[in-house]
This record gives sequence, structure tokens and C-alpha cells, in this order.
Amino acid sequence: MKKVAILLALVIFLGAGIGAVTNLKENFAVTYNAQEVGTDAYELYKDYVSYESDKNPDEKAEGERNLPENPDGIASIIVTTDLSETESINDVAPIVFDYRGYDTMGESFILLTAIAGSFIILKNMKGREEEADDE
Amino acid sequence: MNNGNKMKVRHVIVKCGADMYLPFAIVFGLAVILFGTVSPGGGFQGGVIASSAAILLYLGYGFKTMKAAINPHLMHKGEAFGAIAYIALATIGLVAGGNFVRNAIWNNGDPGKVISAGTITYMSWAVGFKVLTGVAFLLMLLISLLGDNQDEM
Repeated sequence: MKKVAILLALVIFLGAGIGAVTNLKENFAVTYNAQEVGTDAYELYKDYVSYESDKNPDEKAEGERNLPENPDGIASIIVTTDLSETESINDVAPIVFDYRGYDTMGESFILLTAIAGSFIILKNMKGREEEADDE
Repeated sequence: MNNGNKMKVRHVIVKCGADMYLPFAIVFGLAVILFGTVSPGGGFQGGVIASSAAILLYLGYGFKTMKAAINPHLMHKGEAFGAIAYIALATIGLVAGGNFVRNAIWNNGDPGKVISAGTITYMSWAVGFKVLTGVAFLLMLLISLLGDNQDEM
């Protein structure tokens, strides 16, 4: 009975996933696609001076701030296209929960695992102390 | 259950300090969790702030009152519930035809309001609830190892 219920749930889930992928994929906004945006990360890595600034560090005056006029990095793409793709005015929240959602999931499961492990260990330690007191 | 018998007042300055800061800790922590999407902070930080109420309760009133006020098994179950809620909200993106943690229902509400940005808000709340209950349970676990004679201080 339990196996049948699990199998039925898996089949329904798989069917919903396949239907969603075939029907909804064209209407779905892609979070970040480097090929459509036209930014090559390897080109940026080779020419890293132009990543943050339009000016060469040797040419700028002393004390001048290195602010870019036309930033073209991945960070600027995220900042400029964030509102239209996730509708979140805070740029950090979609990075934590959307762009790097796996990272947050792993972080919170590390906490869950640590608390469960320490609960098991410390519970046994307390029981052992009580047994030692009885003896 | 009569909690009045379990109330054991310790030093009055510590007790007054705990009384003063405990409501602020709870309210500020919950506010940081709720407004995590539109303000600095987030679920993780707000959960840790709100769970500091547990240690304030211990400092002011001792372990027995803390255990009477906070159910540790409920905390342990709440942490698992938060983890399951995060996974379920992340699976919505998969069912809707995107990645695993894709923001699926992204066009609800106005940008800048608390309920906007789709599943990001709810995932932030899930992580906040999970960290709040998990860290409170961890603090209770560690304090319970100190022994019951700490109440005699």
C-alpha cells in the first residue's frame, strides 16, 4: 500500500514536470543566460582591468575613484536585470535564494545535520553519566 | 501546570536586563525575518537574533523556566518542518519548468512590498523559521548539560 502510494506520487510528479517543461518553457524568463546577454566570462578574465573600470589604472589621476561609467561584468548584469526577472528590489535576496539557492540549502542542512548529530551525542553522554551515578 | 512554582528569581539586575531586552530580541528578530526580502538582513540572521531570546530567558530565570516556556521537542520538529518547507518551495520551480530553486511565481504583488518576488519571500521565511527553532534547540541542549545545580546560584 505504501509502495503504491509512493509510486503514484512519483508518477504524478513526473507527469506534472514533463507537462510543465513542454508547455511552460517558452514563456519562462531565464534568470541568467550568458549566450543571450553576450558576456564572455573568459574574455573578462583575460582583460580584468576593464571589468570594474573604463579607465586604465595608470592613466587616472591620483585620488580619483575607480568608478565605472559603463560596467559590463556579470555583477552589473545581475543588478540591472534583477528587477525585471525576479521583481525583488533588494538585489541580495535573489542572489541568496534564487541564483545561489543550492548554496543556501546546503548551508541550512549543515545546521540541521550539526544539531541532529550533537543531539544524539549529547543525549547519550547524559544517559551515560546517569548510569555511572547509579553504579 | 503551574509555572509559578518553577519561577526562580536570580540576581535582580540580570533579571531586569533579561526582562528589558527579551521582547526587543523577539520582535526585532521576527521583523528581520519578515522583511528579509526588502531590507538588509534575511532569514538566517533574523533567526539567530530571535533565538537569542532563549538564552536571555535562561540568564534571567534559569533552566526550568526556560524549559517550561520553550518545548524542545517542538523546536526539533519545527526545524525539520522548515527544512521540508524550503525543499517544497524550491521544487515549485522544478514543477513550473525551470531550475530547482527557480523563482516560479515571481510576478505576485508590487516590487518593494513585503509579499512580492514570488517564492524568494517564502523561502526566506522558511529559512528564518528553521534557524530560529534550530538554534534555540541547540542552546537548550547545551544549557541542559550544565546540570540542574545551576539553578541554585
